[in-house]
Amino acid sequence: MADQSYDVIVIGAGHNGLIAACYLAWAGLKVAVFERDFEVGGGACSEEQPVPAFLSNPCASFTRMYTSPAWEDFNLRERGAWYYTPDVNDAVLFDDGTFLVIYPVFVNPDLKETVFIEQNLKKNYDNISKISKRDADTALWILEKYQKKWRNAVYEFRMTPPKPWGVRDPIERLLEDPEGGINPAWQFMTVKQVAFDVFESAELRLLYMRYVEHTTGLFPQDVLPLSETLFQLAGCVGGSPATVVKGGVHSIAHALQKALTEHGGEFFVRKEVDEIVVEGGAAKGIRLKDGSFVEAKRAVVSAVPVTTTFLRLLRNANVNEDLLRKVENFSYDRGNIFWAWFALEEPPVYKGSENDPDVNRARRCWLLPKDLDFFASREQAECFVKGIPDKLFLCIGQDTLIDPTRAPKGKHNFLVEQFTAPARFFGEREWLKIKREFAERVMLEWQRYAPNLTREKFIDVWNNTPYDVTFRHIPEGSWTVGAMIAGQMGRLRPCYELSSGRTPIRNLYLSNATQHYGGGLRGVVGYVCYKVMAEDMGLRKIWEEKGRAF
Amino acid sequence: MSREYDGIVIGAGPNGLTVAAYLAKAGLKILVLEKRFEMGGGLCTERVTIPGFLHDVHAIYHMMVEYAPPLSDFEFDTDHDKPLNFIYPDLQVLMPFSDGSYLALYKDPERSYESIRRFSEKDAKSFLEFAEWSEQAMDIFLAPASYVNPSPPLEQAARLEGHPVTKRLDEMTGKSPREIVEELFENERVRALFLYLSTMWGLEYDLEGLGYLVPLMINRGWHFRLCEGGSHHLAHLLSKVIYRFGGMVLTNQDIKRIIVEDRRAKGVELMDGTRLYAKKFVCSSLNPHQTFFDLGLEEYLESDFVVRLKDWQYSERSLFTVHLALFDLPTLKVAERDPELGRALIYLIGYESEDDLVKHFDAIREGRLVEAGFNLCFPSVHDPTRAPDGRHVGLISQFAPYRLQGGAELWYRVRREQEKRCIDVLDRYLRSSVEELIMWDYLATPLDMERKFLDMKEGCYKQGAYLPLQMGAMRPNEYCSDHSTPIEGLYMCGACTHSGGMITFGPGYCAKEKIAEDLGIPKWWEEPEHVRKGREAGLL
Repeated sequence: MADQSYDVIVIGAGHNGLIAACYLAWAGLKVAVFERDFEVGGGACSEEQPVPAFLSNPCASFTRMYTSPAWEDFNLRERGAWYYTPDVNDAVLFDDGTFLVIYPVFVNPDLKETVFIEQNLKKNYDNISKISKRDADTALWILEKYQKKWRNAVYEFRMTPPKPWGVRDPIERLLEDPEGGINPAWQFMTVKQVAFDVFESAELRLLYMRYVEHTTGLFPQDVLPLSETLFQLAGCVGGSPATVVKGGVHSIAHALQKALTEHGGEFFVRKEVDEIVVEGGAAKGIRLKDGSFVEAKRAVVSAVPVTTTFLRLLRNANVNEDLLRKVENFSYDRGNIFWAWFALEEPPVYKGSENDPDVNRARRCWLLPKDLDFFASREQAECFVKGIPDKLFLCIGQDTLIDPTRAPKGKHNFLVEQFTAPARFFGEREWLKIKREFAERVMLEWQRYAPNLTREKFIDVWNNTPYDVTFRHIPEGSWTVGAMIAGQMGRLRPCYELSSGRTPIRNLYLSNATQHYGGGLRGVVGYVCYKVMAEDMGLRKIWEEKGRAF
Repeated sequence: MSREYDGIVIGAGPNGLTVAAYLAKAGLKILVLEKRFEMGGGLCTERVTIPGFLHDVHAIYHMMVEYAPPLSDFEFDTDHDKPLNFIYPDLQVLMPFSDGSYLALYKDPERSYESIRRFSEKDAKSFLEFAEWSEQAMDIFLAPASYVNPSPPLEQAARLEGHPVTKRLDEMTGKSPREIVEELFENERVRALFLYLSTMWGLEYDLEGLGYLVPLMINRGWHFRLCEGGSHHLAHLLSKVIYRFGGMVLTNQDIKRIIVEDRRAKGVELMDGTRLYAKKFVCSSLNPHQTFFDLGLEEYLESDFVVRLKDWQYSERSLFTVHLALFDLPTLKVAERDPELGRALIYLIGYESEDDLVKHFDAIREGRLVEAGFNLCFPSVHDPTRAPDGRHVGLISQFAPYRLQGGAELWYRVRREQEKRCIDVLDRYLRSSVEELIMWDYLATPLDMERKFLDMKEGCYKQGAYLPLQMGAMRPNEYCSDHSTPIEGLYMCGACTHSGGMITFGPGYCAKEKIAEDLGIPKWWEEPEHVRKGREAGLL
């Protein structure tokens, strides 16, 4: 017996759609999620690559979804999701043999309360001091500000809908706080300018810029939104623990699905939505690719990218030309990466580990040529023109050091990230050539920093390029689903008119990474969408019921 | 999440899901626990090359579709779930030879007859007769027997002997697959085809005592189907049944032990100390060693039983598979003259004679990797949903030893070498090399299978070899072949029980029957028609 009618239909079962659906189901609405792909989760996926029993995360991998309210609200732990916290956050290795080990200063051992680890702060201070005393003092100052002022403001900013022009958001309020410590110029500075303004050493400048590239997809020439600048300044010196999802990121998708099911929500895979049916300025339901109509009595949530929503699903809905133009102008030209998983016979033994064994124990390894100007000024150009820049600045996710269950005993599955060009810059055969060349170059490069990784230590490799990612229907293969540049973040994401999540169509809402707060498995977009819907539709306010500020 | 259930099923493979789905619909609150991050067991479909390309990395050729009761008992096409659809291509198996000739098996045995005739008129007639008889044998016994608990061997043999159709099965039992095939067929190439089919699922070519399985294996050779959307879709639909009736399937669950109190299985304890209780039963779909040794039950077992468990053996032979994401389909030389030949479901590539096949088996026994034949499939030709528009996926499945000379671990070193051998063999049958068409590839060796599916010890996807002393009423042993165990409240439903491996749902179906009977659970399902007929014929 086919159900032709629901209270709310959610289009797309990426984690943002799933979270919105979970809240709506919790609120007592009859919810159905329709997913085109064969499984739910979107970017929260895992695959046994490059070899069976070696579990990789093909998309989201560096995540902290336990910071999302959905983690507690839906008891994801009991549904198979958990995070491990590393003892050592980062090992930053330079090609001249110098290195910097960074420890997590704030951790959440039970994934609830944040604990401050003073001795890690001290270790970070001491380690950075060896490079630059001034930068060490700066790092201390950053972490203090982060703990006292910045973190709360950033979280509040992330978890609340963007404010209209003229109403100050939590970050803008912080700017006016004399104790806030923020240089207002940071709002307009490029990543490089901030790096050079805040830090003095080549090492810390490189680290900050590469860290920002890693967390936001932006190049040194880009302007980062202030909220991100604050977060990443702290993050690059240990402010954010580099946690690892136990058993692969896909377990988050599964846990959300179990929560949805237990709250009475339904989900369907391999069910592509062709159109949002609009009548009299309101969304009435959806039409599936198979032609059938499914009614949405109260609302439709589109959890697919805004360009897909407006240019395809609403193609017959007479949307204002101006708005369509703004949606079309949304850029996907950042966050385009090589994402390669290498199955290893043994872990790397890095140069420098003879002096400090913790160099080998980091969750994240950065292999950085100490060529500041190359990275600051030329990397982007080389990525865009060559695909693989002449110098590789690799970020390595050493997942199985932290979660050994993701490979057979004694073996490892590590992720290598390197930035490259948007998908359209090369043809498919070129990308294949580049892909193979990249794997070879990484193995050689890695061996420069870890001489034990000779060719036969590599069992196999799986490599993903931006071109491959376009098969996930993400334009240009952008992992952030749209550049996180200041001009399209916050109240401007994807554009001012749509940033609240509401649309010109009365009961149609948006819940995708093309909304505030952007890409990554943060678990906030869906929550923010629910907040807006709760206000409009008079739904239960979980944050009030649970005594949360936001 | 509630902590108490009526039943807990360990392992969310096809058999575990079957038990859970039947009993959830019968009104019990069922919890299924799966260790892997994904449920479905061998029913797995993965994007292991490039997004948008779906690969059945384990179960792909579904061989009991017309007989498996779960496929008709559950209303799978409800609500908006993509309906269950099996694709059944006309041309089932094509075996091209390097001289341009080929053997073809079709859904319709008459057409196969025409193909075999070109090699041997006598063999063609023998085939047709065998085909017709094997259909009857399937209908009246081989199929229904998969879905009822086994009878003791002597009793079963007597029943078979007493029926005109199955008498021949009984006569075959003492013979090896090779003997049976050589009695039926005289032509080297025809023998190669039918010996391949007989041994495709792990039956050893020279094993005597399981001859009755040969007609089943050969008959299924023209009954293979693909599951549209990938085999995992079946698991997805089974899980939906479980959810619909208030059950739950949890993944990423690490079980430490089965809780036994007052000599009764009461639930499970997870590695983190969480205890989950089952009021009525615990059912394990794992292999016998995992169930009884790894989950802390040894102290409750009699020594005789422990000895029998330790006797349990795994197969000599497993599979090496190559999964391809392709820019385009390669052109087989044999299909250049007749494009229809480009639409076979399964290609048998690389064996030019029965001798080639036997040599391959012998090399496998010695743990040697050689250039040899394999079966080849382009699932996207039949199911375009598995690849983006115009692209294709391909699969090479080759018999391979788990234990290499030098040890199984060596597989990590030699996997790419073996792929090269397969590609070299394949290229000989293609107009031009497949290499330029490969977008990405993915390999799975017998060692990989063992590491991926912890119940498939030594890469044995049947959870235990098909040997005369490990089948029917002896599977896994005389204590557990009715799916119960010496521990009250504990049942078994994996491929190590009757009716064995492959995707048949037989073990799960039989187990749920036993559980329902023991616990007095009212059955919402009817006895399958073929079982009823088999009973009426006095065969079951």
